[in-house]
Amino acid sequence: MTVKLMIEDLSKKYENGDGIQDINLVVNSGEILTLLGPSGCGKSTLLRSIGGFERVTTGRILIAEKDVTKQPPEKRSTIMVFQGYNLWERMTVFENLEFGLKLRKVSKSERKQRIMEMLTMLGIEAMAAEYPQQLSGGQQQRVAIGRALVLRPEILLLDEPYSALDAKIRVQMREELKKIQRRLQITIIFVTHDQEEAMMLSTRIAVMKKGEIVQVGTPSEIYNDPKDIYVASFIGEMNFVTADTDRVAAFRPEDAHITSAQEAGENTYHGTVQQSTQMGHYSQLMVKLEEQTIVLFAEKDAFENYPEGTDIFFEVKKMQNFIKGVEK
Amino acid sequence: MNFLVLFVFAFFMYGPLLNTFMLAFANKYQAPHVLPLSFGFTWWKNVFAQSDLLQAFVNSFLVAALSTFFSMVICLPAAYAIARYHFKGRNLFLFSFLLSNAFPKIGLYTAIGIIFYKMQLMGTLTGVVLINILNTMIFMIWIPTGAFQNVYRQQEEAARDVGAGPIRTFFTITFPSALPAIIVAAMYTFLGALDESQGTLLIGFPQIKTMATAMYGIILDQAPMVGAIFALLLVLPAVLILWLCYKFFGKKSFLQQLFIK
Repeated sequence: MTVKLMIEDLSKKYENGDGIQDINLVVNSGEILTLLGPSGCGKSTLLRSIGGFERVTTGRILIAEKDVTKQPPEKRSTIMVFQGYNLWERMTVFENLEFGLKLRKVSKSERKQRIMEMLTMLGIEAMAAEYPQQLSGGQQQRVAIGRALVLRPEILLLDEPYSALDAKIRVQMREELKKIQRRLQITIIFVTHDQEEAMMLSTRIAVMKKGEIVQVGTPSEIYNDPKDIYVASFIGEMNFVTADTDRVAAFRPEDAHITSAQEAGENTYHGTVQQSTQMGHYSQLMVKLEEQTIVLFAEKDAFENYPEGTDIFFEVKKMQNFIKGVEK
Repeated sequence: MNFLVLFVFAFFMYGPLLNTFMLAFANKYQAPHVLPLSFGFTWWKNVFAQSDLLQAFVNSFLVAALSTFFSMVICLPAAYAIARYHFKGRNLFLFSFLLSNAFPKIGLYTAIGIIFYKMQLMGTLTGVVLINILNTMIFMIWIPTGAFQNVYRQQEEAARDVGAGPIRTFFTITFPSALPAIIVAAMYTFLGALDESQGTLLIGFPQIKTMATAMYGIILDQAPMVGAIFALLLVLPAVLILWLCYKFFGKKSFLQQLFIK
């Protein structure tokens, strides 16, 4: 595994005090790394720093072992797919893809071949002569990805590329991106605030909070072994119950199973069902404990057996403890 | 009633124009008569025979063209900067261009005249072009500023990203998007400079005579027909340019260009 991108002690401070700090990150060749966090956590700033759109305050950025910290975007081997696609309205789809190739002095015949290949791969070869405004959101998205990929960047940067698409197309585009990534073995850095999207796409996820990276790991590492309450609550559903004065115990809804008063063991809790819903292939129960309300996932028919107001016992099989007050 | 209002309005609007038109093609016109006694091109021949008037015609276009060109060179980068960088005092700066137009012009020109004397710009083409640029700055700054603001910054970033330098980005992405507005601004500038007389007279007289400044002399010394012919000659390029813009942009977007965001 070769290192494609290395970020050392990076910080970028804006005048108003926002920004990112103490960023250290290694991205390997062929990886999809997701920068995940709520809006304002600095994930876009980090991505824009990698792309060369932000002048960083301190630290270094190395792409393929070359220091690019001071280089403008046009000198870097990264290409960004912007949130709003940013296709050039005055150019056709073909010209949008051609512009960068022309700048790279690729011959006319090769340009044509590469562009048509790319458009075919993305299934939009019929739209080559059209203008971006004439295309649907999903098609524009494909053109934006095509415009980036046709230049064969070392790293493809994606800034919440699916946020403007409706749910169904979004899922479809994710699948497509994964397919393309597998085929071209390209390195991708992906920014999103959608944890589901991050879980689905990523080789590794870097969870960000207030301008810092809190935890980096594979989706299952992040999900099964979150470093603190923040990560635990940001990724997936997590229930918190008070363990003692400084600590909080946490468990995933699927890590508890319903039991009875007779079988009650060490990690058994007792509560009242507050709400009971059938979610399709499973039931979701909201259970009121002494202080908190927690969520349980149970088998499909459980909602019938435990209607609202009934007593319930459940045993937690996997529990994690976190120090209180980590989340400010 | 409505018809009457419209008629009065039309009379005020087109009456003087018609009168000018009529006078320009009159051969003989005497005071008590409402209509000229005979029509023809006598006075046109007369005008084109006067070499200094012809020179004024040429000067007018030279001054207008140079003013437009240099106004673009100076103002477009400024407009871009105002559109892109939100520096302190930005709004005040924009507003200051209005101020120079709000002052009584003649006072401003007199003050400038003193400086121009020291710099030996009085009576020179450079001086006249400079004074015209001052007048037209408001169009060349305000309209393109609005247009540049409408070009998304990320469109430029996308161009930088695929390998275009800042200058290439400006000319391939930003400039073409703002071009319609820039053409409208250039049109205003050109027509404004063609029409300008106060400043040109004060700075350029007597060496630089344009059609607009020559008018003063004509009104005093020559037959009213000459004035009318000159007026028509002045109107002609304006109508032509407006018509070209109209053709070029189409009715709707042409009107849209006249508003700043």
